Amino acid sequence: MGYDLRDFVEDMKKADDLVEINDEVDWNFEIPAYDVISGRFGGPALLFNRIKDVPSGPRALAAPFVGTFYRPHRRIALALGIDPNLDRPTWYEELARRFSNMLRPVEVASGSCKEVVKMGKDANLFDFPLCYHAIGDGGRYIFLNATVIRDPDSDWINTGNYAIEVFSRNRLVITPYAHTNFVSIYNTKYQLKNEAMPVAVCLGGDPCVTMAAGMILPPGVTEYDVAGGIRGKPMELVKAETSNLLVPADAEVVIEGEIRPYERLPEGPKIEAFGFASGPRQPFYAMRVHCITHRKNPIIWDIHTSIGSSTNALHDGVGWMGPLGQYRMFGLPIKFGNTVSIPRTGATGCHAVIKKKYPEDYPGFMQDLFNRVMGLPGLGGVLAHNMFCDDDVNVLDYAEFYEAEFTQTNPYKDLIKTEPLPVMTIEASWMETWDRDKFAGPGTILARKMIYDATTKEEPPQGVRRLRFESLFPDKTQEWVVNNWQRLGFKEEARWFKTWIEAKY
Amino acid sequence: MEVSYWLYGEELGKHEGAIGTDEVIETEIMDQGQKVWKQAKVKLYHEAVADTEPVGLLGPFSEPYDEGRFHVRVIEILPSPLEDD
Repeated sequence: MGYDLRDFVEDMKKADDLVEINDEVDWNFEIPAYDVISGRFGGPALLFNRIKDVPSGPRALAAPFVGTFYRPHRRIALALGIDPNLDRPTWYEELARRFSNMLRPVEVASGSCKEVVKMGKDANLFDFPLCYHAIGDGGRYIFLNATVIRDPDSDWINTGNYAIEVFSRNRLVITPYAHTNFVSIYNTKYQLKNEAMPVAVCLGGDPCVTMAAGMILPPGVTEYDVAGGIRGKPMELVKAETSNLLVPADAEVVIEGEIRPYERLPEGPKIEAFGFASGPRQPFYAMRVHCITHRKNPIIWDIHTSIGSSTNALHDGVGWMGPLGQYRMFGLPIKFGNTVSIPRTGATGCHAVIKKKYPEDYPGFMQDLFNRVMGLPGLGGVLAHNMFCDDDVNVLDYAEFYEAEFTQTNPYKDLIKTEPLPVMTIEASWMETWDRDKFAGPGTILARKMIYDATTKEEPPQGVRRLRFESLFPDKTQEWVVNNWQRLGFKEEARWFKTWIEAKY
Repeated sequence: MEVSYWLYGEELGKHEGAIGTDEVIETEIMDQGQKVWKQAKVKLYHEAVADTEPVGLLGPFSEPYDEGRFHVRVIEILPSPLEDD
């Protein structure tokens, strides 16, 4: 038996980080509303034991990953078995270390996810507290999941976390971004051969699986392997009931089915990480549900998109592990990237560029780097704003980010607006109003992208390049101040970016 | 105002001539009890009459407006798309 969602719940209880609620609540707005309000103050996770209109048994876990401003990863770390008190750079360094030690999963004969098996017409999605999250949403949504498919030509198992609309009692609509491995596998390995693709939507189990599913990883990387690396122990998988897919043995719920060739259902709009409900309703991948297996009294975890809420924490806490993997795989001279998601007017990529000398490593270096970043799946190509800064700027800290943006850019030449480029329809929140009628086909929705080149173009005339604690004082002085801070009676944490400066990503 | 169904304002606009005439039209409505879109045969009215329920309208990006301005009588809920197995 591995670590699973119930262990996470127990760990949160022990940490006094979870509130259990026995009053009846509604899946319709109420549970998500609690999630959002808890996110406002870095509040506790919420376990709801009685849910309106849901047959007794299933429970709902909301706000599982609400973090704090400086430690958005705090509760994610708890779920993954990592010290929640690590600062952000050290957290990412530790996660990256574990990420590099992938472990293949093991197949086991059975698991607790098979405690209840409902086939065919007995499989009813409305038996579970799948929530309705916001005014205007196109339906109830599953936002936190590990959706499993398989490459039929190799042993590559792909797992992703997608927004999934509950279309009816036995139909789901899955909404992967166009650049995902899911879309690539479905289109090229199934649909083109006129074959149905088996799919399993898994809720719960080891949180490492869901976290790995949320990373944008290169083709061929099995997220189960990454999850094993993060946990330091292989994931235990069991065969699905209706296909040869392997699913987490201790998942709370496994929804099995298939996506047939060219079958789509209308989906959306919905609240989105890009900031607003985006839409309109548009066709996405229709999943026919054939079977639901689950544990007794399953816990359905749910997240919400708003500032400070669990989705925010996921973006800031683990979201950039996938791009980090891609930086390494493609040898990009970037120390790290981060999604600046506080001002969610279109997610912003911030890339810390490693440059050995100024003004450029070679003529055209920045242009080359920009092209490569924009070409990577899930990176610059889908983001509205991309900022490039020096590698000593801590892009995990918003104050540093803005300092670089406003002091290292010449508005005349360093703020570059591209010609209109095709964008995802999901970014509707910042597209031009006249684009909204153009949902008819690919490449019809165009938007400009903004590039902020905040890298140093020439050596400054004086030695000190940044007016901050880490560059203004000798190392010994910094250490003395930080080490004596609490002893002198200060309650606030002395945030020292030494770990970022020394980090090797 | 609490409404029982939502429907897209654009859809309603297509059937403007049918409002209040007892003409049965086929459209998609969102059931507020289940939060699920359903294809249905309905009659539309400007005001509440017997066996009608208030509806709200949605803009192209599902922004709600005119809640309770129109009323609907649901004649028949039609099978959901892809409900063939």
